[in-house]
Amino acid sequence: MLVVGGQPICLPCAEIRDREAKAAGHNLEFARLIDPTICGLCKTDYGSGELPVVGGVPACANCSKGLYERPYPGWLKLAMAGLLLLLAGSLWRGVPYFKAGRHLVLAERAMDRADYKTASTHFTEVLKVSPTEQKVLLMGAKANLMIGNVAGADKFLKQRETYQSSDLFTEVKGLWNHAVDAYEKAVKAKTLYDAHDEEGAARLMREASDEYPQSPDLVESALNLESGVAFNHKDYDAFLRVSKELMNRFPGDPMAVGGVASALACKYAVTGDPSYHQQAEEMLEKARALAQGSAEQKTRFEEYAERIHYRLESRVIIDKPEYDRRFRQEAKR
Amino acid sequence: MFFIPGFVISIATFPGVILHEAAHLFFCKINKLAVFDVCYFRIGNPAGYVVHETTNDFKKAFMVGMGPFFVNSFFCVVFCSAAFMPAWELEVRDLLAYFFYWLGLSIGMHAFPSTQDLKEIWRMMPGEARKFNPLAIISYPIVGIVFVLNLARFFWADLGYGIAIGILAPLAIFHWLV
Repeated sequence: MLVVGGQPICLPCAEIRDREAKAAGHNLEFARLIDPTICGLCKTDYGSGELPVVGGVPACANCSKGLYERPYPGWLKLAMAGLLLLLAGSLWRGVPYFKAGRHLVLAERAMDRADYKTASTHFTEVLKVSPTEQKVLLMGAKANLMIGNVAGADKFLKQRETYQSSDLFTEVKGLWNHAVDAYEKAVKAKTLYDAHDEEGAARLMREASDEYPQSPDLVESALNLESGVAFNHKDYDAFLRVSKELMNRFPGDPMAVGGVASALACKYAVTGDPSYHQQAEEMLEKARALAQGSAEQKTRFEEYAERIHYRLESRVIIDKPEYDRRFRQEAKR
Repeated sequence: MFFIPGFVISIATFPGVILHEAAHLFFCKINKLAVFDVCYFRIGNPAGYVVHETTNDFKKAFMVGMGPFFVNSFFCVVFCSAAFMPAWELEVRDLLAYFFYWLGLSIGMHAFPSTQDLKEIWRMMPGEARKFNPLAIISYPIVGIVFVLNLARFFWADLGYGIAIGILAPLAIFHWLV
């Protein structure tokens, strides 16, 4: 039953009155006639006893209990418990991602301060979770290219088949192309060197090094070849200058330090100036100390030092093949 | 801007609807408000609902109206925590991470209270604020922002909110912590 204008009205009549009112252009407001002795939910008639009203509806004790204590369905509890368990498992399984994320943050910070070596170390850790995010891969590749690690950069770039154009992509692509071109030149330089065209090899290796100066290998190779050419031309000033440049670039390399000793020994041999002799001895000692790190370096240094000492004692400048021919063939016999 | 019918979005993000209604029910129960009907999910508008007793107690109305917003936001952050690093930052091909990415964002997208819930709070707020009810006073900006965001759903504000709290905020915190 409903009420309109204070008068009770049944539902079919209310619908007719509503249609008539709407046709006449006005609205009627109907309200539900509530019998407080009948439960509005289970429809049980409680006789003359009035029921408490819950939310505008008379509700018996049984029904009102259900209204306040509506349980969650089993499927919902089960789904929530399952999801939380899965989440815990996923978080545990996701520990490597968080570690990678941490390395990524540290790598980005290192990139910001142009510390590409540190960035590359962190990016290597990021690579362990096989990311495919373009910016991460390009930055990882850039960090490696900036320290001359083309193979390392390749590992990052291979993670994706295609890249969208961006400033970073253009930059990395440029670096990559320079690096590839430079290494092609280096291979050709090696061929020339093997064919005993040392000057051609040095020139081409210098081109390669200039094209991709981030590569310490190319720089070292170029300087080594140039020092060899200077030695062959008996241009000991150039030999000393290039050897010093090599040592300054690679101060921890015993052979680079030994190269300066060799050049100083040449200068002593041609000038007789004892200061060169003394400096050569100092450099040899420095190189010896550096060579103690590994047995291989130590052996290599000892062979080299023997020839430099011969040069300092005899003031005769000969290259390794000649030294071997003169002194070591005999020893073999 | 592209338009996708609401029911399609509801289907695609149904866990958010279910959690929203479950949270409504939870806050009705703890505030001792009678619940007449609950629909956790359906294909229609609204996609879910809880028909409950009205109240003139502002605290109860606020908790019932805004409670799902906080619950959904919380679970959005929780579920996205398994996903923001692999799925967003690193783009690792990990199905489980993408599942939680979808789950978290679905939940976050349905954090906003319905206009009906907000209207109820909005109606009571001025009177309560005049009585210096601190909850009503601090509710003003929260409800105001949520009201605007709710209206901006057409512009994918709900998805934006999910991404903001489930992905960007945890990422920012992660960056800050490292």
